[in-house]
Amino acid sequence: MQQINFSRFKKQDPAPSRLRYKLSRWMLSPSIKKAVFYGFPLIILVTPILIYFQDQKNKEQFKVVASDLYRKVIERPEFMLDALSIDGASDRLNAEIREVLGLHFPISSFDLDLAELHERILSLPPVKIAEAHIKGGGILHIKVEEKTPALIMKKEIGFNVLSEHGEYIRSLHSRDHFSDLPLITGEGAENAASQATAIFKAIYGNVGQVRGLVFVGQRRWNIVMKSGQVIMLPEKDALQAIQKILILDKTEQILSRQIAVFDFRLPSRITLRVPSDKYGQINSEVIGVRN
Amino acid sequence: MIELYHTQRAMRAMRSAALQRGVIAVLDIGTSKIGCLILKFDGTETNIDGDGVGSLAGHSGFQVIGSALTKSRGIEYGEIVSMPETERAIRTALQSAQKLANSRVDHAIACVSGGCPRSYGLEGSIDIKNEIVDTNDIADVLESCRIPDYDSDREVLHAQPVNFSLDHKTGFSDPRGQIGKSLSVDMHMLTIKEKTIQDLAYCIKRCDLELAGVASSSYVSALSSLVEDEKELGAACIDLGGGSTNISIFWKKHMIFAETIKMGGELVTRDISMGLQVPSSTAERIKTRNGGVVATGLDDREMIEITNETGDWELDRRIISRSDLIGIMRPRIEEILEEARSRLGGAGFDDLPSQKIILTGGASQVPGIDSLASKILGQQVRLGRPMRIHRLPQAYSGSNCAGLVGLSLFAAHPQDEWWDFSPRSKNFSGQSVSRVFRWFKDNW
Repeated sequence: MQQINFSRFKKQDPAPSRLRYKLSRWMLSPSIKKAVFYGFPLIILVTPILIYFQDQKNKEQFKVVASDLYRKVIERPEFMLDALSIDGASDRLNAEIREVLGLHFPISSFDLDLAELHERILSLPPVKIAEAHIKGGGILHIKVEEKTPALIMKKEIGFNVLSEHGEYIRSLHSRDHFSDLPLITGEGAENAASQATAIFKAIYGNVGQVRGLVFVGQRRWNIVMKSGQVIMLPEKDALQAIQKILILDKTEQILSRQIAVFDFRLPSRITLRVPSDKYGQINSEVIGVRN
Repeated sequence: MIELYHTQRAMRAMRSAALQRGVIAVLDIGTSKIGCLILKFDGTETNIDGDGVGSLAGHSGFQVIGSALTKSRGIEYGEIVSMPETERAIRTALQSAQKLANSRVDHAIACVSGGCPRSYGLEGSIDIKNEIVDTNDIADVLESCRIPDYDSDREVLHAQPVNFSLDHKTGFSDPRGQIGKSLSVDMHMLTIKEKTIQDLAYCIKRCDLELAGVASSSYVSALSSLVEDEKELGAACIDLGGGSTNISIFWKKHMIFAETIKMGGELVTRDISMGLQVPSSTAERIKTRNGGVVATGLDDREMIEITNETGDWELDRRIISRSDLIGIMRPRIEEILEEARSRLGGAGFDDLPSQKIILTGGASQVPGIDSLASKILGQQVRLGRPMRIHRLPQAYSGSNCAGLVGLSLFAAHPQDEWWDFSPRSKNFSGQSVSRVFRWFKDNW
């Protein structure tokens, strides 16, 4: 009689081995549980992608395809700009703006950075206010307001046109085009341009034959007449000094006398200087001036 | 004693750490089965309403997320006889419960059924210094209890203050805030053999768990089976387990006595196995399927087929009547119940105002045991089933899982024990604080 092998039927110990028990507990610990449920699927998803992009050829191919797709979308006719229109600029500024923007139409509106264009237009000295926006129908519309030239300043070489507040607008070789603008000069004159404007306003029409203003020592102004006479204005209250001169001129006609320098620097002590070649003879007219 | 005080305190700290983490395991390591429940404390326990009891009798703050029952190995009469076997059985239960719970558990509360528990009634009294009783006074009065001389190989498992008296007025459960001169306390202390609890702790430690509490299994099965009134008026709970029968007496909501009889359902199985000459697995099966204790005429005609695998046809194919089986089972169960009665009598159960007896545990599922028990133990016997706890599987709601459910309740709401009150420190007082200040002033 054949012996039946009972070992096959022998029931296994249902208890987990110590190692297995520890492993199962380890697997149930929160961090491992998370790693298994989220980490492994993530690795499985990400690894093939990373492997694919390890190859330089694949990477470039992907880049080409992606950029092609991008260009195809942004170059649809709905997004294209065909023309540039500029409002409120002189011909000269118009040309300058076109040059500084350097756009070649047609261009996609995605390739334009309006804020940067705006900055670039504003960086042109003659431009006071500018706005740029895209109008329907594929037009890039730019609206500018120019600064008004108010002063012309003589530099060592050439001239600068300044606005009322001394902002630089453009430089010139000769003042032919702007001969009607008042002339100023002197180091740092552009910083005190608004003072110069005020002085010009005060003397306009009252004092004839003004050649220009000289900024002296970066603090005060001299009025230079066409006759070569110089009126020295004080640092403070220049306008009051001018008032005084005008009154004196009205009553005493001092400006038309033979005096080289009217020194108004100290309002309490006005000094007049006769031309140096006639310094020996004291003019009675001069003495007649009251203080 | 001091060492035990510290280990018990450490276990309490462990328990609160486990509750903070929210997951704790309860382990009922019995002679015939090992049960494990994994409880999740989610802090959803609503405030106790006006009656002092919330929903689900105040046990709604936790739910069972994992459970496992497995055959016990290496345990006899509630005591571990083979450590590796027991460890394996615990591992089996824990692993399947953890798998079900899908979460790892690091703390366990266990109960001990063997170890010859012995109850002591302790008394202590002190004079109160500040007239109003506060926590320190309670700690003092608990410390003033005269500890009886128990054997050096025993450990204190429970030491619960049962009753406080204040100036000849007795019956306080919480005397804090009362005004009086002298405070005395009755404390119930339960000691068990040190080796039993050490073995248990070692087995649990081998399973990488921290022991967060131990309880007597007599205590916990009564916790789940007795209703509030029975606990208040006085009742005895008899947990008829596999290897041992645990008896506990409750009065005024506190356990006042606990005892273990080293007889249980496995003795019945062994009787059947010997009487019918069948393997114990077959004996266990016919005991649970056909067993009973009260024979009727019908049982003579109800035949039970017994199969066996000895190879002897005459022995392998037998038919016995149910009466035969009852005839084997009844004397043993009677013996167990009589032993329980004598232990209850020894404990003075007859003097209690209420004589209610609750039978629970696996062996109480034998049909007809309530009528047999009422003949032996008195008329007020009922079969107890454990309370409902949240998400407890249906398979665990039987009376054989009373200990497991009670242990869950114990984990959620442990009773204040002696070691929950920190003793007033002798060498630290307000004066020493000022001394520290002075030291700083002098030296800096």
